[in-house]
Amino acid sequence: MTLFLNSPPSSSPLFGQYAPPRGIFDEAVTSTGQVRPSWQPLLQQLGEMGMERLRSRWNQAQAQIERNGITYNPYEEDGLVSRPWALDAIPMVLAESEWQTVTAQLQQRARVLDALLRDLLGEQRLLKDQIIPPELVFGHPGWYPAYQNLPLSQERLLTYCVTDLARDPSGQWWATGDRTRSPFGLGYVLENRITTSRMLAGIFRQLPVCRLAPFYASLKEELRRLAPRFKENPRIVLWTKGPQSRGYFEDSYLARYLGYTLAEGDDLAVRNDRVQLLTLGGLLPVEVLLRRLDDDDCDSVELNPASQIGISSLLNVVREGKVAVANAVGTRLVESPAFLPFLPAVSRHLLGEDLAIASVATWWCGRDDWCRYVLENFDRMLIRPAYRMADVRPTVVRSLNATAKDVLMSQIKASPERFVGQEMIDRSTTPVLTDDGVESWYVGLRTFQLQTKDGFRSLPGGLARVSPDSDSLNFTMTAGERSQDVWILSEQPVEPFSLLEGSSSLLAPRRSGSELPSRVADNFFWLGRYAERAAQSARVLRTLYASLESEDTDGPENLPLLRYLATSGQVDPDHVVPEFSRTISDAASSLPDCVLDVERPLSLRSSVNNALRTALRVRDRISLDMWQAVDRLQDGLQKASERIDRTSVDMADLLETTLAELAALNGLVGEGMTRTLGWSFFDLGRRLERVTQTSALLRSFLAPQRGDAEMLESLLTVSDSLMTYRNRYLSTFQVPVVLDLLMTDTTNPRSMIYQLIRINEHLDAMPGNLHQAQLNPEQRMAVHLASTIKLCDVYALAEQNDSGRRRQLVSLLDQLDADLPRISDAVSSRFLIHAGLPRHFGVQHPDRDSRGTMEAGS
Amino acid sequence: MKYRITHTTSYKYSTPVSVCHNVVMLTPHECPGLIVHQHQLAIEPGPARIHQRQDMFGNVVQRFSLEESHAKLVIKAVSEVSVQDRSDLAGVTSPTCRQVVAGLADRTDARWLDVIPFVFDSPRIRRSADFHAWASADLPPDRPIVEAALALTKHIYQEFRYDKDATQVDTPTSVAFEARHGVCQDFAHVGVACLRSHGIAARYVSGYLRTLPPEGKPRLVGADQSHAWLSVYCGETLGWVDFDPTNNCLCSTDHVTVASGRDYSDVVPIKGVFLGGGEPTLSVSVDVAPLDAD
Repeated sequence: MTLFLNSPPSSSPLFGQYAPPRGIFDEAVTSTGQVRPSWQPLLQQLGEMGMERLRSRWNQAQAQIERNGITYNPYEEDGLVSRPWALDAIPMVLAESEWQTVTAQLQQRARVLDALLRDLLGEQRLLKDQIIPPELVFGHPGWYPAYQNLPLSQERLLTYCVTDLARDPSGQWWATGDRTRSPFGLGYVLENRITTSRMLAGIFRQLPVCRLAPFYASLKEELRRLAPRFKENPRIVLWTKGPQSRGYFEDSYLARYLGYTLAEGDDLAVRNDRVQLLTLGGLLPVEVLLRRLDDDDCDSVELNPASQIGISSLLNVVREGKVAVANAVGTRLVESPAFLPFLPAVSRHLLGEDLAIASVATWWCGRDDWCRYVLENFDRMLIRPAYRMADVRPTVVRSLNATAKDVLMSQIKASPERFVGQEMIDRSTTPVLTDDGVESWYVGLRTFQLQTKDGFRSLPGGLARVSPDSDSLNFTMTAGERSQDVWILSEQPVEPFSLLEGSSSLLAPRRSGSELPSRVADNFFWLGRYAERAAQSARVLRTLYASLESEDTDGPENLPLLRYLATSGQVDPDHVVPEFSRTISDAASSLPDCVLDVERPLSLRSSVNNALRTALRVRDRISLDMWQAVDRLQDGLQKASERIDRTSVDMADLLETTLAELAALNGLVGEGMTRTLGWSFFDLGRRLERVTQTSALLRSFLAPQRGDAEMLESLLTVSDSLMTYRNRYLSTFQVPVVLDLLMTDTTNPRSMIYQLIRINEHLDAMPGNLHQAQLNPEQRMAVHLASTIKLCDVYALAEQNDSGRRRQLVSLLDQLDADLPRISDAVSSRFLIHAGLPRHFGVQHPDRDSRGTMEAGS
Repeated sequence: MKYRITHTTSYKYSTPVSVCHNVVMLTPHECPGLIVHQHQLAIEPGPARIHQRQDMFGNVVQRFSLEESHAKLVIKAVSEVSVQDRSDLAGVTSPTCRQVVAGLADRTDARWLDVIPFVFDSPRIRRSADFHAWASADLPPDRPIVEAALALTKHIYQEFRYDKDATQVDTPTSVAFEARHGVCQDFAHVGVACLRSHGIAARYVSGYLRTLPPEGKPRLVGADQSHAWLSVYCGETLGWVDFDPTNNCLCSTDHVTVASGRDYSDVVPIKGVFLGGGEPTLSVSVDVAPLDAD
């Protein structure tokens, strides 16, 4: 087939090989090989750009996506298992005229869904008039009696919803499904647009691509309108399922873009009949929840008691009209495929209109005749659960072997009402950039509708998912190999618009106050601790590796370092027997594990992984650079752990890089983070960890040892204070002045007293501590420790008894080791661990003894 | 028959509870055969507010929160009710199972929409071929439905071993069914599952049972129990009729209904969450005191 007879420049080999399969619709070219008019400007420009430049731009964009940590979690487990978001270089193009026709139909469909919900959760005319079988509601495993008669009047049920589209060979669009809970995709749509418009900046600027930002501004406006109070500036919270969830990246991304606080169930609670955000400064009432979790997870008191992520008693606040939830609780009901075959009748019954955009033919097996049809035409069917409770992969019957087919058939026969059969559409294809050039892949299009005071409006764009395999597009939003930006080309020039402008009134300058959720502070605290712990491990291990490479591998200075590692359970204590002359070379075998083994809770990699996990939980609050620094740390260690060869040279290099990254992270924290409470908690964690580590080092080095020059030098090296020491005392090493530098020197940022002074400053500045007359327990302990250290006599501490022990030093270290965790606990219980897990009331089994003591009929 | 029912539940905590949110269903509501003269719910320590509403099945639901530290929570519900004698139902001619099921299926039964939520699966009850088969001899389509339900009641009473230690409050219905043992809650669930597997609308009832002291002994105050049984929809005329498989009888003046739902999960007497509390100790006392008829 000859393509592009007229339009693409023959000089461009870019689309030379483009050959969509016959018999289906291609978005870019007609069946006779003509480029569709809406695609001509883009293809023309891409052609001029040429394959090489397009590819290099795309590689840059991919790298950018990875650097920025734009990911999705394919599995809901460890937050560390995430994949970079896969975006294609070529956007999908649609003409505005066609788009307007389609979106008018989609907006009507959204109205039907809203009316359907309003009826089912309220009056139930559709049941009374026998339009909808009652089983779809009362037999729906996701329906709760508590959903009935929640306030319907003042609050719209759907703030936004999604319809997924597929285009058939004739060019007609079909709805393959709807999402009414709190659909995914709005964040990725934005990210796709930002990346694509940057990658194809020249082209994007020249073409009249409809802008997305007004839609998001409208979303903000509508959420504000929902607020029961303070409509001008209500507190709106994006309620996420948490870092383990599939949508977490998008949740944090959207929260940042829309300017909302990202909160997990733990951050929110019902107090005083309102939903409150638990912050360091106290409780702050929330007016609107943009919820991203499942309906039955929302309130464990009235809904699913097994769920731990909800807000206990939320429904009661909703009933009282004191909080708005978007989308309303209960809205997930109608996204179940079982409703699809009933939508046309619902539309006629409730709106008096014919449903404009048809759904892919769907048969609910709960109706006998439909079930028979599905089983008789089994090979043509896609089988889905009738009630959508989770992402379940639908079954393409024709891909099953005979046995699997029989199993599925008998499952349907046993509980027909739990299944639907759906016809499969031969989807359209669209150009995609692959290693082999530009190819045609199948495409599915997710569209977004927002309910405004003037009716529904549609996002002028969407999320296109593309795959060389048509069947995989029937799955979820994240299915498919890649996604594409969707360009709606306007017939008129488009106005630039950004969400950053907007409010016409002048903002008064503000300082961030105590409006920090306690959980976020907790994570900052631990991020500080883990980062410091990682740095300490890396320094100790680097010193050991350096010594391995030196000529004298059995130097006495290694013993305390190994002892330090042994105390934290990282090396076998047997390696630390002083008599054993081959200590270091023996221990050397286990050193790589101290660096890389994730099974060891205190290995360097474990500390870094922990840092990454906590960073993940505050992603919406740290800068991209900070995130990238932590991510690079993890990445470096992970790559190293995948290598089999672990020479000491490689390991030493790895430790150098790690320390450099950690230094970069500290620099970013020091220079880049605003001095808010988040920073205070990070720094508090770091200081507490550092003084704890210094104490452990002093114990390993000095408590039982004489302290010869090599050993002191090594101690100063791992404490990062050797340079200062040399400047002051040249090459004479003595214990008292070493102790001064590491403990009592207020000018040394590594000394104990330096940490304790900072800790005291942070504690004094905590919310509620500023103006009180009395010190809190943690302040008392910190003040006491600081003065103890300040007052100590380094010569006395250095004194040894007959057996070589430094009794005074040991008792001081004992005190530190006892009090530091107490300070940490006290801070936690005051500010951080505000709640603990709620537990359910136990109930007694009814009727423990009632049998036999009653006379029937008496 | 008139009663004063006192139901006291107390939770003692080894460490203070900082917050609790509760939903309770301890208040009887007027329904055919039951008159509620008086009801009082007393909570100690007293909450700022008790929210009351009716759920979609007509049951009374109360909700409260305690947001101040407390070491003990006492919930005391006192109700004065009169129960109508329904023992005559055993003798009336009732429509057949087939007729009742058909009335719901073809919507000719005027009450179909109120009844229909009780024919499907619910959180604790899933219809199955096993339940269907086990109850087939009790529930033939052409048997009058009251007679059929009585046969099922007797069947459960005879084949299930009453064992108060064998199951827990959250034991799945299918597990109790396989093991053929349990307490009133399990028996009611099994009965409901059997009926629904035959297409018959059935609901779970929570309430109280008046117990009689052994011959010659005085009535012990507070020794009664909350109880559970099942209710079967017997057509437009008879409506819901209650059966107690634990005691093999048609419910009459000894049974006092508090709430009915699709299964236990709809009518949990006290549910909610609390923070803190250490080791809670639960104690319950129920007293069903007959009052002199006036």
